[in-house]
Amino acid sequence: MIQTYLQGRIFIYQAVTIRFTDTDSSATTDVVFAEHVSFDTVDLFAEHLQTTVQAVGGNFGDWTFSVLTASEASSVAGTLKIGTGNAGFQVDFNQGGATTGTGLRRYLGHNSDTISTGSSTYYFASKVQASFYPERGALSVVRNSTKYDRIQMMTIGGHSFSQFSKDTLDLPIIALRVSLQFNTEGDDYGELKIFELFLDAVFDYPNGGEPFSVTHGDDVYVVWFSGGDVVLEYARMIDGFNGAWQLELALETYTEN
Amino acid sequence: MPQLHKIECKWRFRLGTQKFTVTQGGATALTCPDGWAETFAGIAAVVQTRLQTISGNFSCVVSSAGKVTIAHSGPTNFTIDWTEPSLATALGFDGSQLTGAATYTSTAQSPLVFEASLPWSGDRPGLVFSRKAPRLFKKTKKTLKLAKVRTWTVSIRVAADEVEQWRRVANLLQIGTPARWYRNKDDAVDWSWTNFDGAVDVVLSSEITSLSDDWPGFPLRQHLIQDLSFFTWSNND
Repeated sequence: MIQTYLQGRIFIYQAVTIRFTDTDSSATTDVVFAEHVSFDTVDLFAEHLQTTVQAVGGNFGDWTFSVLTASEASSVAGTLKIGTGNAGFQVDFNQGGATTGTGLRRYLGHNSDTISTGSSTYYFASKVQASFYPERGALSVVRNSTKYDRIQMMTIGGHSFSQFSKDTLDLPIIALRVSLQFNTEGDDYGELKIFELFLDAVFDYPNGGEPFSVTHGDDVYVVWFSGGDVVLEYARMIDGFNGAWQLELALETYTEN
Repeated sequence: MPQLHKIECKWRFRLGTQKFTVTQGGATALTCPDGWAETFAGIAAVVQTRLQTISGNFSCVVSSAGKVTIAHSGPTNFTIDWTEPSLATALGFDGSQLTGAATYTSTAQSPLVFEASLPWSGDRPGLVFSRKAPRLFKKTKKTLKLAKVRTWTVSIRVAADEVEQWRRVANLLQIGTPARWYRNKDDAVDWSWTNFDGAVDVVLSSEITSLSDDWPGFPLRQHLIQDLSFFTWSNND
């Protein structure tokens, strides 16, 4: 079955320096994020951390960063996982005395500014705030249409010209319709509440904000809600399995898959 | 038996206008304090509090859907003159003097209350996010959420002999009167994610400019169906 999941983006609104310390070798490395850097998905953020840290070499060459796509060791899908392959490690989200990393680690689902563990594997305290991993994949993810905006101008002399360039700013806008299905069994009306918390996190966290991403199987779309106000209406699925609801999302993306 | 729904419009006691006079021995003019009654029982409670300034033997309680009973447990007969007819109407009385008894029960259903006898269907929550999304700068700028409002929609069924009462309540909803919608008339607890069938405080969606009756099985006209949508400000947790 195809898995579908949604992730918020990560927007670095203030410069952050995160220090990683390998306990075994006592080596340290700082990963620096400049102000206003952004990552379209949390997966890309984890990938960036892994590439940067592994490039340091030595014990760091074995470090891995990933986002769980399924529950593992009592941690739910969407949780960040760090593995060293060797021994324990430390992470300081506010290296250098700054406090700018606090908001970021909160958004990433961690409850303190430092991690200090003797284990080679560590799971963040909770899942990434803006992440949603429904039990069931989307019913459909459909590219409805592709729109190429153009600018048309007319000169005083009566000549007109139009402009469209895929190479600069004028990326086509692709209308994407995603039909999510929710399992409403269990506590707190199941995934309906979790999805709403995802939307709140996307919009409310300074490190979040649109766009967010929809991953459906191998396809990753970076999306915005289309139109002005976002109107979402859950619907009970006709002939669905017990407790299933669904929701249609009308989105726009620039991604060209 | 499916759970049945109930809607109670909220009621505003306007300062100094909701007056009535109780005569039992001597006459006492009573004025209800300014403020909202969140439920029909809340209106009765306000009236009872006023009455009990005369005697603790007075009571005003909901006796059935949209009806109250005002009584003196003595029992001693008393008289009520309604200075403000709208209060009498809200309680299901016709505004004429109540006299010659120690117990009075509403003669009609309050126009604030509709209790369905047929199941309503398709009730489902939704969300509306207002955003500030500068389109031209989407690639670089961040979208802000300006507001989040929870919505509810439902298809209601009204039996033919209930239509007149429904029209009264619908009229109030259409002029923007807030209401408490019991999604299970036996569950007065607020809606929450852990009490999904709970009650929600609603106003008719501003996008609804008219209500249309659909009579399935016309011309038998056994019941009508209307599609309603609401905004709610109930607990979002």
